[in-house]
Amino acid sequence: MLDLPRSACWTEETARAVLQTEALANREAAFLAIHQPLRDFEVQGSRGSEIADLSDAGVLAALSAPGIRHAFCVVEGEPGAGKSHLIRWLKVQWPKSDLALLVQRADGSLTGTLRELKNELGPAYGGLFDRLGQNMQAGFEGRAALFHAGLAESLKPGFFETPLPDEDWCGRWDLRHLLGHPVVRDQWKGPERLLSIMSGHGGERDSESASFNLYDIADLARLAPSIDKPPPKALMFLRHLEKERERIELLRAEGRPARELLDMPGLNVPESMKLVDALNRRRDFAVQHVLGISADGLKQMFLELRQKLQKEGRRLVLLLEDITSWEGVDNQLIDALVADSRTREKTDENGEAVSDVCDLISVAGITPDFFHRLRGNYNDRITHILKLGHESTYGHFQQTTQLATAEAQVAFAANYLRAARADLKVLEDWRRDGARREALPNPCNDCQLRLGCHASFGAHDQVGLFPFTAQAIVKIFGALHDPRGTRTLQTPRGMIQGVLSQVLLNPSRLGDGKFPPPELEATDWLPDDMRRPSSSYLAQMIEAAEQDPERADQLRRLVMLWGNDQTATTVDVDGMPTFAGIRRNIFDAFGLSWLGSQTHATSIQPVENSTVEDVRPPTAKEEASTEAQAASPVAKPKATTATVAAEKTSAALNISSPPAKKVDAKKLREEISQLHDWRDGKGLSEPKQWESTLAEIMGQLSLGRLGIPRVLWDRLFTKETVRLEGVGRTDVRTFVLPRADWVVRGVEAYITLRAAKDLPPEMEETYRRNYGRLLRRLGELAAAHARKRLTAEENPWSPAATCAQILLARTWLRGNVSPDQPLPQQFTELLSEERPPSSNPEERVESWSTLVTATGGTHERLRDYLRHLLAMPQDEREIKLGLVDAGEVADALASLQKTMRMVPVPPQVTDSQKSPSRGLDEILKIAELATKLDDTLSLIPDREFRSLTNRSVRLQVLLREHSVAGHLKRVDSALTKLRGLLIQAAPTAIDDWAKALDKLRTAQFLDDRPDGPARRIEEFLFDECAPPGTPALLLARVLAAPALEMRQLSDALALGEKAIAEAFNYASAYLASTSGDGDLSVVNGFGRTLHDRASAIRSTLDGTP
Amino acid sequence: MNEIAKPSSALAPLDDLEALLPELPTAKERKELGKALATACQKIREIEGAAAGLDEVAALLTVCGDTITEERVEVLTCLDRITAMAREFIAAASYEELDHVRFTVAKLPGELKTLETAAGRAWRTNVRSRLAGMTPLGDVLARIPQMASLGHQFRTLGRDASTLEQSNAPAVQRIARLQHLLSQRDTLMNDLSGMGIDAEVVSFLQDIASGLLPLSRLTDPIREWLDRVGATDVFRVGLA
Repeated sequence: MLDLPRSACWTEETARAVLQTEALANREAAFLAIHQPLRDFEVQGSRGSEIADLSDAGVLAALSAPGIRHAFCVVEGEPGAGKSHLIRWLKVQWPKSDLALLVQRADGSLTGTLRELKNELGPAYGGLFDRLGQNMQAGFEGRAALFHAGLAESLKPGFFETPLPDEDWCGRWDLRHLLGHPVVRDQWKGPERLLSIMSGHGGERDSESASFNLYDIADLARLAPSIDKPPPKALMFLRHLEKERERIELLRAEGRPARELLDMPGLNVPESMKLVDALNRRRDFAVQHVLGISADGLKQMFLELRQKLQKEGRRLVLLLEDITSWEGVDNQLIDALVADSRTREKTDENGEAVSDVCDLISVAGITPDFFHRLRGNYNDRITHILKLGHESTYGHFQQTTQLATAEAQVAFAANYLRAARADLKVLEDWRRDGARREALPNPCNDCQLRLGCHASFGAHDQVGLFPFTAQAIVKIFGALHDPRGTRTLQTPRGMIQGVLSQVLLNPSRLGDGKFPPPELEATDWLPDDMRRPSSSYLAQMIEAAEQDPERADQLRRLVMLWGNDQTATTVDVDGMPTFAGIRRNIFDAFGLSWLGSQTHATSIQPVENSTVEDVRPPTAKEEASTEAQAASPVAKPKATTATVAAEKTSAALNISSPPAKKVDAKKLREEISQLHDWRDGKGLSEPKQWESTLAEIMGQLSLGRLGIPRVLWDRLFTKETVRLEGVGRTDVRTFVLPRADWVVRGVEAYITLRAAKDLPPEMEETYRRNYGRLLRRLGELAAAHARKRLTAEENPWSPAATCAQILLARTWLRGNVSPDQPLPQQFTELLSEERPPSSNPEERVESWSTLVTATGGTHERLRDYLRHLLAMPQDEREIKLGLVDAGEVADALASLQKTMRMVPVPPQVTDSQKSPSRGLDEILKIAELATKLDDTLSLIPDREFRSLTNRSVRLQVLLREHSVAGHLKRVDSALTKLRGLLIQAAPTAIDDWAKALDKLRTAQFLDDRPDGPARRIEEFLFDECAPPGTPALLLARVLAAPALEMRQLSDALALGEKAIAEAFNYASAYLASTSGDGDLSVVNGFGRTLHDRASAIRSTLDGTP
Repeated sequence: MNEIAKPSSALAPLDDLEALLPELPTAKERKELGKALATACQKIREIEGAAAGLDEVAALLTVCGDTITEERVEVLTCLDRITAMAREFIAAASYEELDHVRFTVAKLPGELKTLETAAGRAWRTNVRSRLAGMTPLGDVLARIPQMASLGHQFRTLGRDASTLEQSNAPAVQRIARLQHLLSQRDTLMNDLSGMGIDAEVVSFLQDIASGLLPLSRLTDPIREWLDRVGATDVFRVGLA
């Protein structure tokens, strides 16, 4: 057997150099070694056709061609897709005749970017940066406050010289004062978040967009309860936001990325969306003077730089890793970047066209998100677009083309593995020799373990994948996901940071026998299901194989990350056994216990984890023994699924002895004789006595087994209703025992066993057997009779189910439980004693209260009846059978919940003359109520919803765009003032209003508490959710509506309207009646005028000698 | 079943009610003070010019300055009465008070007339005192051949002053006219000075224009001036 490596064939130092993704300085060799030519990306743009070869080299050739005077090339890709790598590669390869400046992402901020640029340009051009005005002294918090204040002010209508399209909307809701409210300024972190992104995010920016999103608005809405006394309009706007926040928070709880929400169809948050737009529209203005770098300053600096380079006859190449950070000042700055020198050409004295700025080639990395926004403004000026990804079939992110296939993923990893194994000095030599790919060192070529290693771990292009396998690379890479949902990790960066780094940076783990290393699970990029055994069987195998928890974890990681999810032992083509697709010698190489079969001669099927018991039908022998069991007092039923049906028709399996009764022998003989006579068609001499006997026998039947509740039994089988065939009058209510041998023998056995003592065992056994048979057959007949009486014979109608439905409907309508609550909870509620109604039925549509009233007189009786119907037998010897059972009730309840329709009541039940249930008052009442409910119940939700909607519309009209408290105070203020002036104005109407207002005040309608009635009403008024599609959910919705509060408010406002109308009429008439020109102020004013003039003359005279 | 009421969009006139609330206090006064207020207002509106009249008086008296002496007491007394009236108007609030306003208002024109008369007198005195002597001076100068032209101008000024004295034009116009005439006077006097006539001669000429003078006023400088302008024969010596 060929040996495998058991320790790392690379060093941490080399790995670190290879994996370093940021700085380019002093590591060009490693960079070039891991460089994998980019191919087959998509090229667009007005001059995209210039790139004939769709590769990185093709891009370089096209853009750096000597004749190119201008280009603005955008490299579009998700974060980590390789934009920076390509741009750095261009920097390394760019001809030295040009001034090629690589502006790395640095800390992600604009200032950081400029610092990079300044460093790149060196002292010769550094002075240009001195005039950018980066002298802002304020700290981050100060700048955030300024940004916030600027945003707030910019929401004021008329703020901008050229009005923004949403100015009226902003003014309508007084957004300026809302955002400027002290609580919002102190506690809303939206502006701070944006500024943080634009300021670099502590270096963790990673192309995140610096725009307001719906989560920011949700955060703002969350502050609503704390915002003290906002302006009235702003208050109403907050109500809207609070309502919409619920929908946004649901998506946030699902971990949906904020940017996904902006395009989500059907997300009904119109006001929040408008606010997002309004804020983002003003963001650039507000941020520019906060960043301390003016866009004009930047533009001027670039212009001067290009003018200077033009004089030196140099071409400027700007290689910009990420310009997403320039949000806020981007437009003007990009203007400078895309300015074509040829557009500034003038003719010199020699008649030649000369530009005052140098030629410029810009290549900028950009995310798809930002690209879409940029493209709107600069589409015409982007000359080349390199798209590193393509639309994926799922999700919001692009799939990176470079790693689209498993082979590409393995090749990418192999490239890094090769570079990591190489000596850095060797790589440096290789770079100095021209860095030709075909000459790239491959340490595997010189490795003695190569054959075994490549055979077991696999290789790509002669580069061994140790300690990975191709399956491991693809599997781990494919599983990576960002738990915050903000980016895709199926990118080169994801491969490096989520797969390769964890292994290559920890080479000692191999030698220490701690491989696969825990670092693979150190990030939260691996989903939870990859962090635990895929089945309890696998967990048991691992536990059995490794007692040590750490080693068990290694084994688990190996199987879960390297394996193929199969807990099967198979044999590879070379005879090597594999477990979960992992060769046995890999287990050995990592020092881990082999999990597969020791024999491994053949493929072994995986063991299913589930332990479902077999369900098989009873054998013929077992079935035959049923009768015998029936005769045994201790016989137990075989309660398998297959035998349940047989049990249902088998009565009285558990038979006790008849109660002892002292009867003399003569009497006994007479009774037996009568029985036999009856069988022969004669009458009975003592029918009353037989009635009692039959009642006794019927009492011996096990009601539980028959599935007939006691409450029904007592009504169905009485002395008066149980008859022997041909004895007495019968009708639909009578249960008749047929003239049959089994009846005669059974009854004879009963009375004999009851009376006789010390019967011979054989005889007793015979009697018991016949008695048992009687009970069994009697049970069958009784059950059939009961079904017939309950009309269940021909129709599958269950009074219990209908009764439960009636009670549930009543419970809903009283608001004691909502149709959208779990069914068990509803079931419990309907069986419980009624609590006071919370739905305010009297405030609902008429049909609602009518139904509540209709069931009001009988619900207690029905509930008691239902409890009996559903009561489980307490006797251990009994099992439950199903004429009526909980399952049937549950189905009916579920059906009611789904359709709001009652189980159909057979028409014959409701026929008072022919009903088989005649005499069963509860059944008839149930049928009557069910019919009534079925006619109306399903219509009620819609009626009530429309009624509430109309009431809501009316309330909104009455409130005149004011909050509830605001309007109440307004009306009261007007009426109080009027009353102060004209006591006789509409006194009754104003009194009525005042009383109504007092009631509202007592009920806290004038308080602005979050749980107060006013707030509940306002939330309902602004509820823009479409009504649910099912009546039950609609009923749940209307149950949750503040119907009572709306009625109270509606009534009070109606009184207010009446008072206003009457008061206005009175006041108008009063004004008309006093329409003369008398005005006390005229008299008083004239007096003052005279006085002033006289005083003036007096002063004149006083000034004279 | 029609158990769902359609929402109405009708609204009570809350905005209108709020709008008319500020009008109610005045209306209420009107209602309560009734005819007395209306009459008082009507009477006051009938003498709306009173304030303007007082302004005229004030303007005239301001110009009259130190010339008002005889009328001073009369004016002050009148002002006391008018001030009392004004206080009554200011304080009027009840029916009775307003009812009395009309009687008081009726007295106001008389008081104004008194004031205007006094002010007119003061005005005339003022004009006369400031422009007196212009006509006689003009008469004297007109007789002197070399001064005839200037004499005519002094005469004209004298006539204009006399006209202004009797003028009933608005105070503003009268005051402006007075300023103009005073300015004209100053100009003519400057012209006299420019012709070498010193103040003593001017004084002599003005005084003699009013009548006979003692011979002692005929001082040497005056005689020299009369000789120089050939006006010796214009004057005769007589017994007083």
